[in-house]
Amino acid sequence: VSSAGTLEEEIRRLIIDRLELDVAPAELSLSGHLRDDLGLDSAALLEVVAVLEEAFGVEVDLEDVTVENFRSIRTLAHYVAALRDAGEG
Amino acid sequence: VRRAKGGHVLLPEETTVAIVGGGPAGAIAGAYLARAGIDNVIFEREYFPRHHVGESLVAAINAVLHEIGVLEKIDRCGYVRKRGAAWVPKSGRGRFDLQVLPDPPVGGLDYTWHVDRAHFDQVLLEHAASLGSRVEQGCVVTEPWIEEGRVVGATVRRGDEARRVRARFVLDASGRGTFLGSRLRLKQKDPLFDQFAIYGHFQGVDRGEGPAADYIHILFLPTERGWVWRIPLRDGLTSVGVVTEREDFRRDGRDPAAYFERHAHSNPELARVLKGAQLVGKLRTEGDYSYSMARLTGPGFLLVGDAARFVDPIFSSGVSVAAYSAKFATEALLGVLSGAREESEALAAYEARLTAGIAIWYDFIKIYYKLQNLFTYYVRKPDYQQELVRLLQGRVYDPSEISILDRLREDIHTIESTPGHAMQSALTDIPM
Repeated sequence: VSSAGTLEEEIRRLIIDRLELDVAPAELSLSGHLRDDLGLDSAALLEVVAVLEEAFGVEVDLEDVTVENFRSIRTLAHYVAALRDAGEG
Repeated sequence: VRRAKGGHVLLPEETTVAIVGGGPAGAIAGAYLARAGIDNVIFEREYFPRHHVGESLVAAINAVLHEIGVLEKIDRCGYVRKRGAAWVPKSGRGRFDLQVLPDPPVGGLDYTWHVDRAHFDQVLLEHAASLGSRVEQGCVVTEPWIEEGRVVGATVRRGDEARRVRARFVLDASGRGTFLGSRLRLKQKDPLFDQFAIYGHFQGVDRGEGPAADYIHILFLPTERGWVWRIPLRDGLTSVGVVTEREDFRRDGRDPAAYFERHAHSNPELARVLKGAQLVGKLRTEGDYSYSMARLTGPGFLLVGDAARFVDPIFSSGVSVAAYSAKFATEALLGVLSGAREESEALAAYEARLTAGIAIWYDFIKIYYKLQNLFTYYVRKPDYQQELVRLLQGRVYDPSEISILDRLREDIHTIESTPGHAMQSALTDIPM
């Protein structure tokens, strides 16, 4: 089980790779706003959903794609951790 | 054969099936009828070859081309072989490539084609003639001939000659000219789509390498409902077309070249591949977008292909709808002409079948414009990919096989109705 720190970093790396973002991981703040800072439009969030599902073997319920869960890398990591816990429990 | 004083062949006075239009719908219908020994005349306004938009085929058409015996002939034409499609987001980054092959591989071919329509349409029309269709080019069909509420033929003009041609059935394959749809006032403008296309053929477009070099590329634009087709053709030509809302073009000042240029460069990836490309010929525009008809058949007539309905071309559905409507319409006619089926029943069955098939294309298009990313999200998932591929192949005539559209509609509803959903602003205003 990865710690919260590495989960956040892994999500950051996956998003940069998948969306072919022209940014170095260090430049992308873990708590920064995905939409405002990265210019990810709301439609591109489905790409983020696909990244999480493929990388972590979780199933993201579309109802969970809320502004709250998808605000930043950090909130995404919380969300993924909660999904995994639910899956294990 | 009767001839006029000048020596040219006179138009016929009578035929079993008069086909209005010699594009793919008319030519394929003529071929099916001629194979079955049914006398038919195809009246074509132009002299082929003539230019036409709509170059990319979908895989399902191979089965029809095979049935009428023209598949091998088409295969020898040297058209670029199509084995899939690629979608490029408006950012230019994160493209998605999808292999789409004919299933089953009719005639042993695991591809369909991107065709140049001037050539392809002529091959089909000549094929119909070789099977026994009588082809009359340069003929404008001006009016339906109606007796007691039944279409019994049409008035045909060629040069100075005008003739009323009597027919047991008139098959309207007049394309977006919508001969009967307009004359019988059946045509209904689509309430949602008023798109418009500007396109041209280019030499020197960077098509990339590997299998995807021969895919159709759909590139999205920052403009709402805006996208571009990039279709590789033979002889190094590439068809590039900008599709936007007509209203946007109107606001822009109506300079097609400047409009094309500006939009084509608004997607960075398209701008990159167009660098150094040369326009061959001129830019063309196509308006008169999506419409439907109040009905597709009536006493003595059937509408096929674009004359029956036109939907947005984003999935390259046009020529396959032409082919399958011609197939289904002539099946109905053969049943009636042989005495096996009653006319109203056979025509109603044709209408229901075609309407259901095109409705699937239309729903797919609507959902796609509602939220483009929903499509690319599901198409990556193995559980759903097969069904989406079936749609992209053009296998839309058995609605029981298509449940993915329900799933997509449910998702759109979830996004709309969940408070604080992060994707609400991604939804366009298309009503579901």
